[in-house]
Amino acid sequence: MSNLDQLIEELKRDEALGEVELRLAGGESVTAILDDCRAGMARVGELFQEGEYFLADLILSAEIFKSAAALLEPHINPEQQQKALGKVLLATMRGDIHDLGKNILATLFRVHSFEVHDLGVNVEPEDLVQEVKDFQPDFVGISALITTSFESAKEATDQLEKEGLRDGIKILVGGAVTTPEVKTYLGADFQTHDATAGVAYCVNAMGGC
Amino acid sequence: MNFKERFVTAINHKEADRVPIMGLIVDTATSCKVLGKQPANILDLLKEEGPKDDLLAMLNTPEVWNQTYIDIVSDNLEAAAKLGYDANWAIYTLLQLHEDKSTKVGFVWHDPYGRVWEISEDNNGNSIINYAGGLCGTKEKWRAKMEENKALFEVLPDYAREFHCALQQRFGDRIYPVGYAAPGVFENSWQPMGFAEFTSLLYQDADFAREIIAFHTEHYLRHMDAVLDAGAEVVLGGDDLGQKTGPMLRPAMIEEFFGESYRKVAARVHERGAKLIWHSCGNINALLELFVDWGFDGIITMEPTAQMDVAQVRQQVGHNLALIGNLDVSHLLVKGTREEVEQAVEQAIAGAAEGGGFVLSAAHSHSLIDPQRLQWMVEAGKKYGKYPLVR
Ligand code: B12
Repeated sequence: MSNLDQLIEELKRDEALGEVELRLAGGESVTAILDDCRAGMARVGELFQEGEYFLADLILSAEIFKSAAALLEPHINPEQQQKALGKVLLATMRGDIHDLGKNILATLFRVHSFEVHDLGVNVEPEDLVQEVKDFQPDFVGISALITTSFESAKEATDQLEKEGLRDGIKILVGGAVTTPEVKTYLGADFQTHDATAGVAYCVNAMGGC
Repeated sequence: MNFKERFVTAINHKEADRVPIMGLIVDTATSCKVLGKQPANILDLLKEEGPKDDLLAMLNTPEVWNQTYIDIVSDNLEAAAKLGYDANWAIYTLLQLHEDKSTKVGFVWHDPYGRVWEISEDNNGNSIINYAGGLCGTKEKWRAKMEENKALFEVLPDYAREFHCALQQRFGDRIYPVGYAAPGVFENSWQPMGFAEFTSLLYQDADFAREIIAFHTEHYLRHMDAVLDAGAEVVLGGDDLGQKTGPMLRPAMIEEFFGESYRKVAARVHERGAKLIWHSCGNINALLELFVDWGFDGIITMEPTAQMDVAQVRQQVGHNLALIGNLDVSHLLVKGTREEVEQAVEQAIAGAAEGGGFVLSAAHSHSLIDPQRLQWMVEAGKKYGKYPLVR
């Protein structure tokens, strides 16, 4: 029995990564190891929501997950490679440079096997629209922490509508200052202050559980 | 009673003639609208054809930078005075322009701590700068950068002293510029490295984290001394220690790593006979007892979008902290009606101003805050804030 999920829950980075290496050396399947990592991450998310854990804890668990995934990556053979559950495009729009929440969200999407393309911060509406054309995501996630970025987000969603790109995608908006009114203003499909809820929405929409 | 007496009286938890009103950064867009003027836009210079070596050399001359910077801050203070504020933040910053082809503009600002500030345009066409990451992602890079910038750290307090003295001279008869030693030790520690990188150190390389914190504490005390040298009775310090739902780090971890540093800062300010107001956004309810314990005398922004309720905080900490805030900048001061603004002012004053210890202000600043709404806030503050308060 492994205690990898427990080690991640307790934020013991070095021990957790050591355990990943040990289990890989023992010939265990990448999928089984990843599942334990996911279980640990889920527990950290719960503890954050319960107020037991704080932002830095959440971020550290995401860092541990990223390092574990990097260790596992070379061991995934192409046949075993899980098909991505869906494609997500993330951005913080022009006028906004806050990215801590968006970065956590990106990791959580990866934890749940989504393919993520993160455009970064201060993103021009036309760059987001272009990326929708190129990357063809299932979901567009807009992170907004400052009121000044609602306008640029609106320019982007209007342009997507105008170019007939809106119907094929679901738009999510999140971040501390977003409200249901912002969702309506942008014509988005989902709004939240909770990254886990955003990921759950997308998992459901892809018919996952 | 003049603006300064009003402000200082309130911070000392006494009732002045009325509740004072304070401004924060006063965004360039806001000050331009208030003053009806267009500031020089650095983007115009940077977009011009041809080599920029001379421009870079000129802007990176401390005298030119200091002069340009004080003129920008003076516009902000001028606007704050015109809005009818009693006091306003005044932050000294030392930036240097660097070429950076990876950015749209092709240039970025660096500060001595190792932050990168990107240049862009706000919704009104003004050039603005925003924190865009750091140059110190590893131990080696951090140590090298601090060594490289040794000379800048030496002169920064001197420049800050000159800046704050000059502002007192320029504005001393109109508005109280409250010297703000910013950013604080937490932000100076994490922003040049990245949040994930720095907070990981707290768990995995505590000794190095302590080295960083000790370095910045030392420098911060010198910066604070410079602010105090300008004759301040109230000074500001700050670090964003909260986010929407609670503190950024475990409160016990903040105490363990930063408690001593914050205590030293508060003690230094008190030794010099002044009061220390602390700026932090986000939900900091769980940190208020620590703030009192560290010796902070007040808090500023009390962000309503992060469940900071002035009346509740007053009940929680009594008159151990002066409270400054907390009008919403998501809706109220952007698009709120006059009635909504009046109501929010009346409510904040009723919740926290009895017995002094309350200063009215916006919960932050950004380019879409409407000067008309700020004007309504000031008018309502004067109407509902007269002492003795009408219950
Ligand atoms: C840290 C911080 C900063 C840092 C940012 C560092 C960085 N790299 O991100 C610094 C100090 C640089 C900064 C600067 C400024 N800030 Co600031 N900042 C904050 C603060 C305190 C915390 C934000 C944060 O990181 N939270 C932690 C993360 C994890 O939370 P989160 O982003 O909400 O994300 C969670 C969920 O919302 C969700 N989520 C996030 N995005 C998305 C997207 C989708 C699709 C989904 C599904 C979920 C999701 O996932 C996360 C985990 O659950 C907030 C206060 C607050 N209430 O949040 C102010 C705040 C956002 N800042 C504010 C302001 C005004 C500024 C400045 C303009 C100040 C100034 N005048 O200079 C500047 C410039 C910023 C700019 N142009 O963008 C205001 C905005 C007000 C408004 N209504 O517009 C706030 C609300 C503070 C206040 N007093 O009102 N800031």
